[in-house]
Amino acid sequence: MPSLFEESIDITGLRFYTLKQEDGKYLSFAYNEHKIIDAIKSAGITFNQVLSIHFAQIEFEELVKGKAQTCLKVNNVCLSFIEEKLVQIPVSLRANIDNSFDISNLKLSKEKIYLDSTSKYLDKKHTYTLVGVLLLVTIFTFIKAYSNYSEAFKYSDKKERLITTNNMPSTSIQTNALIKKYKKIKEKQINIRETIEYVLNSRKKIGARVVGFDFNKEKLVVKFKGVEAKKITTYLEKEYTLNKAVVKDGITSVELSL
Amino acid sequence: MIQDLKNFNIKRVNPLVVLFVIFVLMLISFIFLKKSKIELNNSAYNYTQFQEVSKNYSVLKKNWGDSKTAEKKLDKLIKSSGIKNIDVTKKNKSQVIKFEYKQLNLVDQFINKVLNENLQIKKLLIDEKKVELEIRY
Repeated sequence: MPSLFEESIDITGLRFYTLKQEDGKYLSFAYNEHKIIDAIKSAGITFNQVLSIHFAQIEFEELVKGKAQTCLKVNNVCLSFIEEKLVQIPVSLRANIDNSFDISNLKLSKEKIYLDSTSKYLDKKHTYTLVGVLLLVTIFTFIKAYSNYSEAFKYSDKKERLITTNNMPSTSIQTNALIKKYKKIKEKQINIRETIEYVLNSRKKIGARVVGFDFNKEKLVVKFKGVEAKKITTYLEKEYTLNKAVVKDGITSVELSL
Repeated sequence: MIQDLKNFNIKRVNPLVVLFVIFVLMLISFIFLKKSKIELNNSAYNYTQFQEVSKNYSVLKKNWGDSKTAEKKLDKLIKSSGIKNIDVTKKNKSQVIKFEYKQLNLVDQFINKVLNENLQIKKLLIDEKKVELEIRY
């Protein structure tokens, strides 16, 4: 229907309402929404009080049937139907004025329009397009956030699986305590092996021969032969503190703590 | 109230209000997304840290805290040592190995292998005739 008006009037800023009366016959209305809104405002009515807007052409038709040529006075305006069209007649003509008309008794039809209260700069179509875009962004963001939370929650499952697979204690305190214990054992055992290596290297370094070796708990007693005691103790004292050194029958026994 | 509901028509809802509500929802969704990203990063970081701890624990336990593995290693070393008449005594949490030797090279090889394995040496006695070794589990 807009094309119906396009050729004759500038339709920019106008809206249309069309009522089909019978096949091939339509009643169309073109209206300037902002003018209606301005009129409502100037009448001191708040916008929220207005449920809908009806066309007098449609609503008054039933009332004037059989009252042809009668002018209905409504709010100092004289309305009359001439050739099925509602027209205003100047009150000064005073032609068959019917003062009995009461607008409050009017039963409104279903033919109505709703006013668009959006900004003049942002029409309804663009507003809803923008709403649609923002809604899509919001939905996508919520889905992504949910996906992130879901992914984060999966790490808890993975952690539980690691605990089960590696037969770990249920709490991190217990795990850390065991790690500390095992590390201590490892360090001690490495220390024992390094000490044994150092002691056995005495053959290469100072020509001493190890003839006895006794490690028990924290103490190590080594018996050397073939070199004087001073040389042995000097060699060992470079790395360790000696508890005692005894020479008997040409054998030097040295005790050191690990 | 019922009349109000009857009068309510979705077409009368101001699109600007809808736009504003959607905009607020979008802001909330951004905050939600930001928090979820932080949560995800924290979870990923904590999991990586835990993986390290788990790996560390697993290796340490296998090497120094697994009595069955230690027992198997020691049995294998004894069988492959070629030393005869080895006296093996199993205690509660340790195993004592005693033997007398004549071939020093076999003792050397055996002790070297023991020292190269992750076995907890509790006692090691070597003199000119015999060897006594206690391994803790």
